[in-house]
Amino acid sequence: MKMCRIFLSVLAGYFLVSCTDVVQVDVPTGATLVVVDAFINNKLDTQVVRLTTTAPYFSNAPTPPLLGASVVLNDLTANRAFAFQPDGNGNYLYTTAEGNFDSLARIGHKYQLNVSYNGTSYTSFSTLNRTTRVKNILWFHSLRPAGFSKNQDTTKWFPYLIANDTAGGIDYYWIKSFKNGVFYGSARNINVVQDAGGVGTDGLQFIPPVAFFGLTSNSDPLYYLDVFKVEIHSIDPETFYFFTQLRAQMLNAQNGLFALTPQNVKSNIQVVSGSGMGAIGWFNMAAVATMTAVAK
Amino acid sequence: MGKAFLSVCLLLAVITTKGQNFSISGYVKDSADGEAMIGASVIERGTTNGVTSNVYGFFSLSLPAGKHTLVISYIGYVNKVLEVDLVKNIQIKFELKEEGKLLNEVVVSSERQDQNVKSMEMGTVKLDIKQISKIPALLGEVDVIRAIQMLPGITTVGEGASGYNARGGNVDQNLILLDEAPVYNSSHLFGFFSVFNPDAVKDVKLIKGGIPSQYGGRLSSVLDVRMKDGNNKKLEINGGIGTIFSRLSIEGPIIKNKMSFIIAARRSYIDVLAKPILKARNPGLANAQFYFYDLTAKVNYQINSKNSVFASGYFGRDVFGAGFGFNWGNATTSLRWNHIFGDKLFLNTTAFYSNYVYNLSFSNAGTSQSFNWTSNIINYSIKPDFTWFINKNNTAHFGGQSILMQFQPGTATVVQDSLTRSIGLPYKYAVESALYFGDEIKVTNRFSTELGLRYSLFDYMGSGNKFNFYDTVPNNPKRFKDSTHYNMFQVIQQYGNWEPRASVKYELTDNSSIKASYNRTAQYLHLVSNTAAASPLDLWTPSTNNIKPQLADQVALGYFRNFKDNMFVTSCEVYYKKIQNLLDYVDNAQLLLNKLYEGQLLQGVGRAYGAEFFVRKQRGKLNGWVSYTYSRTFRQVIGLSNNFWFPSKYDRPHNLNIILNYDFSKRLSVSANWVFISGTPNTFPDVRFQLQGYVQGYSTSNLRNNFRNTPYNRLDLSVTYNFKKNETRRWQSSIVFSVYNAYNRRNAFAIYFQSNNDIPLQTEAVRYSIIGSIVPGVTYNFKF
Repeated sequence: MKMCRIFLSVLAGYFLVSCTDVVQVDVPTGATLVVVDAFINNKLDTQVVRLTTTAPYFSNAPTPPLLGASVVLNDLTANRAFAFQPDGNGNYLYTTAEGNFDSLARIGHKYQLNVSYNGTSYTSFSTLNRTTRVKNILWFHSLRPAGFSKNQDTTKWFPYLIANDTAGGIDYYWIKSFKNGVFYGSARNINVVQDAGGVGTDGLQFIPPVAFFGLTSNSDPLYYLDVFKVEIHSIDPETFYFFTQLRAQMLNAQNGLFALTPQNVKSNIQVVSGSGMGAIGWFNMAAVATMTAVAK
Repeated sequence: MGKAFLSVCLLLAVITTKGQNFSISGYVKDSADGEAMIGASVIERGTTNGVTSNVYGFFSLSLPAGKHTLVISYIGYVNKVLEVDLVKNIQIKFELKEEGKLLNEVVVSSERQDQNVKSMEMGTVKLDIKQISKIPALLGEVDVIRAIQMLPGITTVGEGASGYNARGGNVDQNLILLDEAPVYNSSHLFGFFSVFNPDAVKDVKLIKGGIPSQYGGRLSSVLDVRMKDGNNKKLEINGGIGTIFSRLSIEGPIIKNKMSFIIAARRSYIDVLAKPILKARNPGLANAQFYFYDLTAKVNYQINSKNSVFASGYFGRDVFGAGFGFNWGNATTSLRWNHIFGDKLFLNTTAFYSNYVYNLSFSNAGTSQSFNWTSNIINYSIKPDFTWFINKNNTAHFGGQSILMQFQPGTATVVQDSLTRSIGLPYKYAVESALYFGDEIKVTNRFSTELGLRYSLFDYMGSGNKFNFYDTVPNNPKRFKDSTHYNMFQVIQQYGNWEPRASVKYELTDNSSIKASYNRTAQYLHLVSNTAAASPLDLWTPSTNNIKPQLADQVALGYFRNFKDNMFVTSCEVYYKKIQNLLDYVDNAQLLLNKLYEGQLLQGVGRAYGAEFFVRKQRGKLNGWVSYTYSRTFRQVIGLSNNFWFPSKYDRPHNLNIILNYDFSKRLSVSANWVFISGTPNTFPDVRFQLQGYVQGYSTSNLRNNFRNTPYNRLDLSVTYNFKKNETRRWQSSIVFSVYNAYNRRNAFAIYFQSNNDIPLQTEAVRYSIIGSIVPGVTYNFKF
């Protein structure tokens, strides 16, 4: 429905010479907050919790890393604890030992993330839900100019995800896509879904936009022999709403006439004790299904 | 209940017709086309005895037996003077002639056209279509709602937004009536044009304070739009060819002086004109279709001097699409019967049907998937309304209304291969009923009161489910607890409200008065909309066990004064309004296709206050108005903005409108209008954060609407040239050139904060302007 609003506003805009331009606005800078960025999954890759702080709105540089914090993940179900080690750049890492195929993340388990910095403790909880599996990736490609073959021209290739929602219960997924290893990181590509496409789609095959438009972008398509990777992360309902809100707020300007009230995206990080900086951010534990395909 | 009322009234009517007085009653009509004239005054010369004609042109005045001189007047028309010798009740039909149509006649009007000062009404502005058509309009197209937006006390969230905000009220708090049937979405093309075809509109009345008891169901204002009855003297065709759409209307007698009709239609063609532009900007929009059309029709039959019937209908649609499509529109039908009991009791019974529907569909050509969604709200209603002209000092209104409402909050089907699934929401049903009584009493020659009381009763009924929710942390969706099924017509939740209405008027002098009013209004229907401007996809919901009805109390005080023999009409009004249970939304509310949407709503309190100044020059070569309003509107909703009061999204303190029209000659006139309005409030982020690579702003104060967008100002100009009329032919035509936003200002609809598309680490403030350049327009109008 968000798309419809954008569409409505685009039409309204085209019809009456609407325009946007960048303006200077004076906004006093607010308080500095700790930002916890903790999306941990059951892959055996190195898991990262990134800690930063907020910065003035128009600072136009990466936000400053938070150094000297401690990060511990507790598996409350299995009563295990995992300490994350700082890399000196705001990232706190956990690497599963070579030869160990037991991920720190187990489906169905409840987790607690504990962060402490300068005497202040922050915490958050997440339950790791089931994901689904990727059945296939189909390719659509644009029409080629006459005389060009598909492997030498500028034909745009677009993947179509074939996967079904896991039947029964309500599942939420975050579908991440990568082109040659680079994450499609634009807000338009924040691709989250309830079941296969909303209420009433339990067990169905994923429908567009999640199965198609959300994966790539028209301005950054794939070309012949590019490598496409898709990851379906299981998320909890709160994370689903966090992403829908983040997406809506990041793209709000394009809603024009039908923009939402600007609002702060929610946070699931709480201050437990201490009187240091407040915190915002998000913590989610995910199970991941993945598939890689080459455009050919 | 209607019957009981009727019997009582009949009885009273019989009793009161006996006595020393006789009544003179009848209709006031336009001599040119037989249209009933609303609000014409019928006054006994040299006294303050008088009445005004009602919305059907009917009046009844009781006077002692004997000789009287009556003056019938209406602004812009030549007064009619009549000598009567009352020895019995008499009925009469007056026809008034428009001033401008008399070429060599000099009319010296000794009577005052002084409704502003003399009537009970306050917070009320009446515009007839002739005045509206003088305002320079966007693309040269005359528009009712856009004219309303230039009146004191009226704001909008911005250009292009549908509807209007009256005295700090939300857009859904306006009762918009077209021949007594409610119109749920008054806009075409979002808010750029209204659904009212100016060729079919006779009279527009906006009431934003001192709302009489016969109106109810909305908190903040009534916009009462009356359609023309149709010329009952001769066939007339009106039309216009404009930049954006064309209009055509036909009206004429079916039986001369007794039965007439009007049919008016409009169709836009911007889709055709815009196609190359769209294609150039985005090839995906090459096949975009977007247009609107509407059809307005009415027929009336005056059966005899006691009975008239009217049937009117409106049907309109906006259609948009490009790969997927949507369309929306209203349909209304109203049937009315006027009957006069005796000479003093006038009954209008209206039965109406109103349907607002929108549809959204999507199909994916590459796969066998499709999606189709429809939502609508249907009303069936009957409303008997009596006007009882008891005597020259006392006029009463009473009646009742019952509306059956059917809501379809959204029914959707998803088709995938051979699988079809319905993911719609169940219907909701409700009945809103009301009984009302109001009495306008002239206590002394200078002092009058109008006291009214309305009782409204709302039943939210089955079949349907009553949902219960757990209490929650404010600003989080309420968690679902359980639901109970109710059968058809079983009451799920009932609300009842007494709504007192009172106005007083004291005439200080012959040309000045002070007026005060209080009214309570209740609203049981709510538009669920959390976007800046209401979108056509927004959902209407009844009050339920989880959504309480909204209530408003308004007090207003005004000073009214006319100058120079009513050439200048001025008023100054102050008001204070308190609203309970106004609707707001949890952050990131999921409102569409969510059967538990009630859990996403918050209710709070609101307050609005303001001072409105209005000067109108009614006559002369230079005419027009200046209005200035200072107003504020705030709300407090637990869970939002740290529970503090915050300005509503349509809180715009300063609002100045200047509309000037200069008639150089009968052929040429020039109009200008300038508006200055404070910017809308906005919430600005004061820091940024990064998460998963996304850069997003954050307001650490968590205060809502704590900044303001830049002020809005705009100048529009128009020139109207009437072509010379060929005396031997009926053809008349005119051409209107208009320039909207003449000094090319980029007014901010809003300022949005976002990270740059190409450089995500760069965050910027972006001004979004709905109209970013001068918009010229030309319209050719004809009539024969």
